[in-house]
Amino acid sequence: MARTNSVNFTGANQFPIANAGTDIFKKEDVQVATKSLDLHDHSPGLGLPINPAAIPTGTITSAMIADGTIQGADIATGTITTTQIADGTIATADLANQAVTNAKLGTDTARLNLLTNPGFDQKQRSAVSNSTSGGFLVDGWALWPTTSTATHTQIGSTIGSQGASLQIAYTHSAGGRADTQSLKIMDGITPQIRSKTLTFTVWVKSTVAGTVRLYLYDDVSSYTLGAYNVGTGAERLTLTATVSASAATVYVGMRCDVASCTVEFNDATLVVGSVAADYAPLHPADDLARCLRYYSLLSNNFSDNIYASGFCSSATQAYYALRHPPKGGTPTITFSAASTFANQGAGFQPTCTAISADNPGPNTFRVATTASGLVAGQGTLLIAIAGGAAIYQEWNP
Amino acid sequence: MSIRPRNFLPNGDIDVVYDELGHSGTIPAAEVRWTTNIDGSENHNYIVLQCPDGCGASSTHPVGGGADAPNVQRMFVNKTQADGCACGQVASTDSTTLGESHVRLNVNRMDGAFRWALG
Repeated sequence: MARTNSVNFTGANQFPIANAGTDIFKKEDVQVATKSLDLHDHSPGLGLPINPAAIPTGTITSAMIADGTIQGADIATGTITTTQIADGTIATADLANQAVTNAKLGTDTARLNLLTNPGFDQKQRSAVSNSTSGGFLVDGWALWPTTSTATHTQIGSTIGSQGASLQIAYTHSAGGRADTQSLKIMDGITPQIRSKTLTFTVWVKSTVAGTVRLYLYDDVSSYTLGAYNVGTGAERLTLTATVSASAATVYVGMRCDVASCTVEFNDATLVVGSVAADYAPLHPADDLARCLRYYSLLSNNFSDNIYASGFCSSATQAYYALRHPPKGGTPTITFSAASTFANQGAGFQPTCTAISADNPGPNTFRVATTASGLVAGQGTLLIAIAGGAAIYQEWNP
Repeated sequence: MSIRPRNFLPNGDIDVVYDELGHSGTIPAAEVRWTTNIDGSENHNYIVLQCPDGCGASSTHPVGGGADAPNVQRMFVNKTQADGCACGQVASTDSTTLGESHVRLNVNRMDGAFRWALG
């Protein structure tokens, strides 16, 4: 066989290879071979390329990779995790438009609260407590005891935001319960929340563990109940539920139904989506405005305040026109005793012997009073003449 | 709330509660009255209840339900069925369903169709 030349060492570094015993041996063969070996670096003409199998696992470091040369295609799909990304470096431009979903929101993202008086701070009624079924103490939250008894009072907050909280003192009877229930959610337009997922949260502090839980009610699926409180300290209960597609009535509330206890409620939120929202107080004007949709009053905080102007239709009858904050519908109008009002005119001021609302509507109503000593055709003012004089307007969804 | 019906007795009397002052009692059926218009006629859209406690307070309830839709609407239905309607369209001798239908029509006119609460 004839002598051949190396194929992986080429050019000046190529050396002959004797293949058979009869081939002549030249010292120059060794000289070229050793020179080539000395230059061997696996580059073209200086030996075979490096076989990846010849590189031990885990030995290539970033120093061996030129900066700016790693391509996106070099990285396996779905392998970069948050640990590879420096905190605070993701910019808005890095996010696709309309790609952040509700589930990605933190609870501290302020969102629209669907509740009326969620902080339990608004209390227009003068009573200091309420124990009657269906009755209100603070605006927007009714008490519904069944078999058991309970009392609502408003207290200074010891949990959640500062201000006021609602407290329920619950006395349990077997099979009984007491619900502290919101007004109908989205009154009159409940269909707007059909099929939506809602998340309801309330800060609670009960004197007994395992005694209070949240619920969402709709008239198709009935009650969806949450988990009980786990301790006796402040804790936030959360419930997520989806409203039925054909629901006509939706409420949320807090239920005591296990054992006697006293529970403080504060900072309720009800938001669309599966993520709870931290309580964000409304501006007091907005907070009160929501409540006025359901309840408002005129009251004689100062003596001799004038409620309305009107006229005497006879010697015993007078009529007045009054406006009140708009309600969701025509409200019930309630008067304190007729004897707390008088008809004030030029030279007469007879006390009312009867007073009632006449033809009320969502924004206005007429007041009819009966008294002796009126002067037909004369103008008159309806005034308060005794403590406790008040006119209430109430419409509940 | 208002002076509101809480329980309806078989003879037409109504148990009521006045939350504002914590009063309660029973109002005889004969004292469940329509309100009177300025021309002296009765108005089938409103019923006035006097607090049975004697405190002198009164509530004028609209047929739409006002402060308590289910119970107030029931009060209107019961009165219309028992006494006929103030407008004369329904007599006490008419079928009970006619009275309820008439009240429901008045509820719809006042507060809208969503307001009916008696199922």
